[in-house]
Amino acid sequence: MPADEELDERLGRLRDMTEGLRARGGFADAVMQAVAAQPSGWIETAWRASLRMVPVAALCAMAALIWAVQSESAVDEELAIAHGIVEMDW
Amino acid sequence: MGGEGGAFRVIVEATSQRLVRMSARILGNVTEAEDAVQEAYVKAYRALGGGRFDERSSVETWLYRIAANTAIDALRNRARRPALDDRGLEPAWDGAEAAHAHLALRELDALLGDLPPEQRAALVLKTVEGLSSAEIAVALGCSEGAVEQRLVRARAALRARTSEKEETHAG
Repeated sequence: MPADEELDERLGRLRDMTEGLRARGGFADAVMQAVAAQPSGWIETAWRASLRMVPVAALCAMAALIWAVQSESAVDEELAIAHGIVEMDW
Repeated sequence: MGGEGGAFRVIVEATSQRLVRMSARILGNVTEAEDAVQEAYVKAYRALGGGRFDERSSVETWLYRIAANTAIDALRNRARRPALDDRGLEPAWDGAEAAHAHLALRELDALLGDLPPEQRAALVLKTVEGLSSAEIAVALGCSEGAVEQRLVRARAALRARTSEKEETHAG
């Protein structure tokens, strides 16, 4: 078909004209930078995700410590009162 | 990255020129082609790290497939965005060869601009890149029959457009 031949001829000419196309200088460096910015695997991904949780975990630990100290004081007081009552009864 | 990064760099340097040329021919633009090929390399690196390269084909064929499909995705995304402005000659090109290549890409883009991305990619890979239908089927992840169908439709659409233009000129 003439139209197909014309098309093939035109595309062939465009192929020849674009044969010398190449990436700009430093393209490989840009690719390696983009690759280096990627997490290398699931361990690194998990590690990065876990780092975001550090401040939250620190606050939780501090709150737990305060609660534990307060609870201990309350228990000591209750024990002292209970001990005094038992002594008086006895 | 260390040794892995060094080995990957060797692959990039050995394959990037061919991949950028092929993507530029599909996209009709070198800057977009470089972006697409860079994205393809990042995908490939992730896949290698995740052990998803099955070694059924050579690394170059595998990369070619990823780059071709990334270029098709870029064409699809382009359809949803306004067209890029003319960005002028690429800084890496100089002289008459650069000007010819630039003009050729623009002509290619204008010629194939109305085709759906899959048909456009199939026609470029067949007629410009010189791949067989079987190789295109591997690159695009479809059957040879689907490749032939895309080629027939692409040619029919281009013929219809040419005769439409001729009728307009005649009238």
